[in-house]
Amino acid sequence: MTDDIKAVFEQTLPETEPPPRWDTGRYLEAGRTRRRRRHIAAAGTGTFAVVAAALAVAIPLSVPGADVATPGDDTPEPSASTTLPTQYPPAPADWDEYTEIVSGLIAEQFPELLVQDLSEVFELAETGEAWTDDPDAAMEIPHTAELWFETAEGEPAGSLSVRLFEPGPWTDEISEEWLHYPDPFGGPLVGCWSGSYEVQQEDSGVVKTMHTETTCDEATTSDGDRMVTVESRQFYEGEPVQSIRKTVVVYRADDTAVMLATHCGNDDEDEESGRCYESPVDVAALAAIAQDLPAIIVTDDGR
Amino acid sequence: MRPSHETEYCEFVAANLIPLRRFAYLVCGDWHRAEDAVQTVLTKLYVDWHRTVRRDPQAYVRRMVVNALHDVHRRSWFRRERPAETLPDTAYDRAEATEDRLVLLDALAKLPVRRRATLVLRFWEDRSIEDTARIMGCSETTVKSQTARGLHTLRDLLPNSMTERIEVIPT
Repeated sequence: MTDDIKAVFEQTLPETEPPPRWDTGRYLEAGRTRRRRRHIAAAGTGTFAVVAAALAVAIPLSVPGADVATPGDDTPEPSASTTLPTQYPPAPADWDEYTEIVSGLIAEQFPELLVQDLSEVFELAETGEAWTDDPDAAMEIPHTAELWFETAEGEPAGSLSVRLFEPGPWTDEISEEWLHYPDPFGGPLVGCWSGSYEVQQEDSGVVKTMHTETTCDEATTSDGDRMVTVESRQFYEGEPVQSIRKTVVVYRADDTAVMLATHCGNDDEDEESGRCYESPVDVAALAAIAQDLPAIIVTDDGR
Repeated sequence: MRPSHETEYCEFVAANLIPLRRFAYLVCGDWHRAEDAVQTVLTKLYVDWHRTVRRDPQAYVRRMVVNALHDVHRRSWFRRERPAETLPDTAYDRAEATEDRLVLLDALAKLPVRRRATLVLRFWEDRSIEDTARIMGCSETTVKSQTARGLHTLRDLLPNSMTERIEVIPT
């Protein structure tokens, strides 16, 4: 009987199928592009991009702050190799080892979030390379790692990003504007903007008002470094919260900086694209990790 | 993505592109929509490959395809653009076999996406009720009821000569 029904389905297939429009190489290229865009969205700020996706490509009518930083922007030459002081935990020799250390720190803080697979999930990537597919660009962008949390039941539980900033022209000021991406080539790494702007949905023309509520705080780490915490929520007027982000930045005495941020999972593995899975992680836990992160690795080849 | 993961991803795409497109076509009945859904899913898959590879990728991507097609059906533009009354003019041969095919496609098109996907998984891909439930993200009871209702609908829509094949509901 099953075979008979299978034959029914077989009858619906034409004798000749149109060839696939994309080959494997094209899929690889498209996947890399999507990943780059996700990096932008995950960078903070990019919560707008996530919301836009949920709105079937919304168009901002007026967005405060600067444009999204792109690799094509005017960027200074990479800084020369830097030797770091030994004030902080020593840096391991390679990224895999570094990843293990960071994974261990995360596992200590969040043992309930599927930590048994953390070392496999956590992937330390050099964003510069991911953006441009050019290994030489590695030094031009902060080193970034992304981790998507899951509960023991496999439910999304937000995500965590780690960003490592080499000494550069960025500042430790807190911007009063909306920052689309922490810019290592100048300006502040975090913003503390609250306010509203309008977004128009492309296909319906409906205009909605997006509200952003941000609170910032400052503290001093046990090493005496300045630490800034930022919590931000975004929502359309009259609608549930669309985006939640918690960020901790530690500005170190060696002119490097580390940033840890949780954000909505925007888990787009299914039709729930754009949904905000609030992370159970709080800023105190983020701060505990940030203070213990080993120094970043800076060598002649950017690693 | 690490180079080893990219290699795995490419191997997966190369091995599964055609079967996945065929699966999508059987669920939606349109090559263009099938291709769009597969493109969306495989591109997303790249980003989440490190997680997917620890699951059952074969089952996982099928669920994503069904969700993608289901999502398209819910979008208003689809409802506006979908040809409602007649099938578009095609270069199909009007031989009897093709007529049967058109009748079948028309009947299958009247099934909701998830019900149609359940039938495709159960009978085209020969998956068990348990497997189908896992892929569809529903209970085994739901798979059984979706199968029964889907076959019942097909029997009502298809001519007698074709419904003889699906008289018995194998759930």
